[in-house]
Amino acid sequence: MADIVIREPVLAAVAAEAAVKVPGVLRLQPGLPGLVTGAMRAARERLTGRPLSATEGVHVDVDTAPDGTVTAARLTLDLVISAQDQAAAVAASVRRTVAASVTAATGIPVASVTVTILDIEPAGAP
Amino acid sequence: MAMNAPGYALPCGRDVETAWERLDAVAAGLADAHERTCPHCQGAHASLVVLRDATAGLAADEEAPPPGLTGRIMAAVRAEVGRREILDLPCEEPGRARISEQAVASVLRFAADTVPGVRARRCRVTPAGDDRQAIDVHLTLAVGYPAFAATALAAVRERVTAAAGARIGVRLNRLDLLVDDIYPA
Repeated sequence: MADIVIREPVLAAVAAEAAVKVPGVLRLQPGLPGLVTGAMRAARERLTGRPLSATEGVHVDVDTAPDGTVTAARLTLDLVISAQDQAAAVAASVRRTVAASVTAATGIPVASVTVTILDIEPAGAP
Repeated sequence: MAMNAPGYALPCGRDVETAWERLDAVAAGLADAHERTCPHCQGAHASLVVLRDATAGLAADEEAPPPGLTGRIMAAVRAEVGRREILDLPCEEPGRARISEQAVASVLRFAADTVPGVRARRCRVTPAGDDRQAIDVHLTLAVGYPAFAATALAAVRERVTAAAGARIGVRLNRLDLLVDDIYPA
């Protein structure tokens, strides 16, 4: 029986990808620490020549069983959304989509998704 | 330890430091008899030339800031400000949905601005007591004088209430309007 280990950055990348595809979501919003992470990711991409998945604005906590397997994931996402859509509806849609995508891609059950809308921008603004 | 020795000696007795210093001389054809024949020195020269070219390339590489860097930094700073005051949004499943007061205030200010003769100024949004899904709003306005009509305030109330429900998804528990300035209109 081989071990299958899925690490947190993978969960974060899947969640980020799913979240930005939800209608009404303009982007994930990293804080200042996230900006530094993003700059380091860009530098690593330049050095290695391989694209790395964006995970800024996503935070992942996992519960692990005593044998080290991941039993549940708790996700936190920070978003900027468009003013065209109702904020509560976009947040609910992001939470459903992210939970379903992460479980479908990794098999890890998602215990909770916390969505924080940090800003609302008029659609079409840069 | 060889690693800590002042020079790293080649099998022929010369050290790499010397080979490095003499790179230009060798390139200019001024190699001495030993350097012309010794395979160790020639090997060392060849790899040092590669190293020097690579470092020169890196040093000459002008790194321009990526496009949109300032915008990304300012967005992160704005987000950091917005992170301080967070309201809960209605949400049934486990986990939470939250929104920054700043985001709510910008939507409500915009709604008030759509009323002719009224300009929204400051907007304070706070959770309404124990009810996590309702908000209290304190909105400061400037009105155009003499074009301002008293009915405009009723329109502001209507539009802000509608925006809270339709754009945010929370109930407006209390809306205080404070007219504290006029502008010529």
